[in-house]
Amino acid sequence: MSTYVAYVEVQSDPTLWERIRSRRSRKKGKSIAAAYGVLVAAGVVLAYLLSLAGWLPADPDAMDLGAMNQLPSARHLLGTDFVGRDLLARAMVGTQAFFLPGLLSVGVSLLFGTLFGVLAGFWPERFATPVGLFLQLMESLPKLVLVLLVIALFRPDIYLILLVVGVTNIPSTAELLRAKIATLKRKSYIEAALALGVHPARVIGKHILWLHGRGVLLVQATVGMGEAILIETSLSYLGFGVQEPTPSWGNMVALGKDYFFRGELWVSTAPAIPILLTVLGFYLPGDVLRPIAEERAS
Amino acid sequence: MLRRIGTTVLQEAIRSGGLLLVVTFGMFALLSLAPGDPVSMYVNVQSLSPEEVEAVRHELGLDRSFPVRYGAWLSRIAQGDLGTSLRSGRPVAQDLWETGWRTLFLTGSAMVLTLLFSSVTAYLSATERHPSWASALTASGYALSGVPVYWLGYVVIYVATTRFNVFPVMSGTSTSGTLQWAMFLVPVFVLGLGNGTVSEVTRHLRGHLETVLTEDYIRTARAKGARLWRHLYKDGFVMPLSSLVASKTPYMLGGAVIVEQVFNWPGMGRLAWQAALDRDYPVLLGITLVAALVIRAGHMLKEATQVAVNPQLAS
Repeated sequence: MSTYVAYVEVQSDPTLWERIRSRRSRKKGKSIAAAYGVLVAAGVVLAYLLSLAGWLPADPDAMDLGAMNQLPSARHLLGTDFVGRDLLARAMVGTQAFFLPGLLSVGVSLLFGTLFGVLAGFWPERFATPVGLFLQLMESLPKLVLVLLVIALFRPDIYLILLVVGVTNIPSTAELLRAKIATLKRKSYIEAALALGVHPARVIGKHILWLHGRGVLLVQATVGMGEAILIETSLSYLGFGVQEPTPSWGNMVALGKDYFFRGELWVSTAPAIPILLTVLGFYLPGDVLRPIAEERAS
Repeated sequence: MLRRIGTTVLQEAIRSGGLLLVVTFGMFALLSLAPGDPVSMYVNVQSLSPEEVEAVRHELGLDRSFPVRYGAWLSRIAQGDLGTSLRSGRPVAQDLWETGWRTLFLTGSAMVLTLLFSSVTAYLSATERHPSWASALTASGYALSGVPVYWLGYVVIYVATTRFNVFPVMSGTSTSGTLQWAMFLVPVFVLGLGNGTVSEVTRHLRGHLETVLTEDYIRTARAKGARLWRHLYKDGFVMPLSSLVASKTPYMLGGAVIVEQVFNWPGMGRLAWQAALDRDYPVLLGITLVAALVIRAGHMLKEATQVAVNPQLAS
């Protein structure tokens, strides 16, 4: 005896459900975003190193009153500002305004965020409440207003300002790690490792932070750097961060303001472009990698 | 139902009260760490003899211990006395009252615009009904979240002045003109789209919608031919939007500082900028406190909304 089963194939337009399930195009977008992020990071590092070494297309402080507010040309690849200074050279030197302070900010938030995250994840009964409170506290204050308060009280330089920003980012890093460790702790291989007498430091360092936490930490680092650049340029724009004649992308935009309204749009736009490109370069990979990093955690 | 919401609001109020207490403590600690003699805030130290300065110091309680000074400061704040501005000599509370509602209007409307843009983008790309529209909106959302908001402001001002012959800057005095009445919308537009959170908000909403769309109850609703929206809006929109309002309010307030400066909008953000310039810290302390209050109110609204939608969340 045999059973016959008839399959009828119906060809129709893909339904909503089929389209929702096929997300191939989004995967492609993820690798493009990651590649773009790497490109931007490499570009920033290159510009920073070149500006440190002094290998610039022109002297960033040399004025040329015969060539003011020029559009890009072969001589000035990004044009010139209102006293004829080369905008490309100034934009490259402008990376110095946020490079080391930004790294400091990211370093502080990662280091202490990891420390508190591990403490709260491993010993939740003792540390989870203070870390959670600290997180809610930081979420209750707008960063820019807090930074303005610190500026009014202490007149700090850009290193201290971005250090404060780094401190405000500690709890979000800690919370991400805590949540990750809370799920990992229930996994049998972590329990087994601990039961077999593997030193907790080794479990934390290798199995948790290195094998599972690096994605989260990488995302936090890129997003933190993007935020540091955003805050530095915004403050320099407002006149609190890096001061003229030292170039920052933010104060370069502010300097071009009067010319912008008179129709010479380029002077402000030239430094706005690197802000757009780098902020996107640091935010985009974080934006697309975060779901993956968080997914692996759960 | 109402009781559950009430309980939640009460719990959140207690938590917020505790947090605000910690905020004030942190601010007072910062204040006392700041360089400079606080007595010079009140009197001209140079023109008085040391004995007179000491007398003023005693009168102000500045020679007492830290907890006593903090307690006195806190009780003054609780009575609504935020001190006087070092620059104008006016009470800080009065300044904040006059500028605060303008900033509330700016940030509130900008928030609505951000959520509107993100909701449309997220809905289109989650349902993939108009893929080309969805990708165009997603791409412009990404571009917008990287654009420096002040430069976006310049572009909008330039276009308005050259194309429409109006100047989109709030001046205290009212002006006549065909389009002038709509000028307050321009900063709202710039802050709403340029505050840097559009792409993140869109991604969050889209992820949420995609999960909800694969739920069984949505499939059942579709199978029986019901309107998708009716079954989608609670879990797909109300829940994520309420938590986004709470979590993005700080960014809106930060963005308002820049946008108000660009457009000369006479609000709290501009006041913060001016105060930082003048080292007018009583004003900045007041603004920080108000900002924290507004943000905690946003969290309270979120908790109340979410409990109203899903009573199981009430604890």
